[in-house]
Amino acid sequence: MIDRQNDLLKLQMTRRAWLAQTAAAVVSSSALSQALAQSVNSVAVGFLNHYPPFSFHDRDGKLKGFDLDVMQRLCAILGLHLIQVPEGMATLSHKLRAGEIAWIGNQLLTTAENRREFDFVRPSYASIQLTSVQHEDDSRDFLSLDDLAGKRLGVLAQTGVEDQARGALGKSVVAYPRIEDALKDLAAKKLDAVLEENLIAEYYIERDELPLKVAAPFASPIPVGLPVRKGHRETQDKLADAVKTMLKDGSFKSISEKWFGYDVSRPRMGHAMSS
Amino acid sequence: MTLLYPSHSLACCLGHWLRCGVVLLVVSVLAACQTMVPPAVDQVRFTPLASSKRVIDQPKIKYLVRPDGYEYCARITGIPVTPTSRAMACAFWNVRRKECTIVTPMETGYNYLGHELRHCFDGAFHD
Repeated sequence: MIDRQNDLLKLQMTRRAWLAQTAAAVVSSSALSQALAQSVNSVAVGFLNHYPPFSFHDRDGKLKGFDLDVMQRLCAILGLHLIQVPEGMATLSHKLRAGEIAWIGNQLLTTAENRREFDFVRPSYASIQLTSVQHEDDSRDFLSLDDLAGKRLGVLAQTGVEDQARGALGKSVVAYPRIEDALKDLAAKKLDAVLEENLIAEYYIERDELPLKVAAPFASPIPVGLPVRKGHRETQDKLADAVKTMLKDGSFKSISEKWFGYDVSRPRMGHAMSS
Repeated sequence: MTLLYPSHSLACCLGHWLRCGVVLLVVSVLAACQTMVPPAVDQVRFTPLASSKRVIDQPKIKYLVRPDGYEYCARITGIPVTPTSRAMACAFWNVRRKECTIVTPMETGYNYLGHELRHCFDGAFHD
């Protein structure tokens, strides 16, 4: 009997030890956020930690941004509590593959390379397009690189835009490590134009109260979408439904107007086709 | 024999040119149709939005007639120019500044200009 009690005690201790070890493993593992996220009604979502205006840290170190507000709304629609996981792109990719985050809360380009790594949520919620930015006093029309021949053009350094602009315009292209510096030089009339994505330009114009305007589109809208883990069709479908709800119920429009002053889900250009 | 050969060659040549002529005629007619037939969206009547529902109520409009009009509209819409279809005109707008720009090639039609004008008020109404 004593032996049996000892055996039971050993068994209980073993179970207790096993539970303790398991708990310790869970707590100490890098998947803590995942474990927390998997608790009822919570979800861990990754964000790029320096991607203004979509997600970035303010002066107090608090994460904020347009995409963050959008994800808060999507989570509210889905009945989930959002746990923010701000990281660099490489870490976010790793965490998504490892299941430590459920999706990335920034829309990424749906390039062939990205499609090999992620599945994407459709529809996208923002129409993003490369545009020319000009001084608000400037009435010239720059619709192509040919129009900019002999003009000083500011671009973000080490991008495809810089390569193309340099190929067409040569030395009159000025490349900047930070696009906000190019926009400040444009405001000071040291440049004739800047090429940048419309939403990023709109954000800096508004934030820094620059006397600039987003002018002519230079390329077709960039295909983007929220990246989810490859093969997670359920997450993809739920998010797609939530995005549609958000676009339909007016809540996206409010978020969009807060950040950009208008509804950015709609294209800012149209056309007439021959038939 | 020497006479037959050139005659045969001449008949061949005439036949070839006739075929070329027919092909050219068909292509010309198709091209004309493409230019003249307005897109389906332009063949229907529509009820203009109330001013309070417009994307831009009273836009400041600029009209650019460009030699590269087709190419520009193809580039910003992502719709390629093909033998049977192309963007005949386009418009872009800035809601915050209440500005709209219409772009057409050197020759255009009332329907295309009217279509783009509607974009200036109603935004992306058919996308």
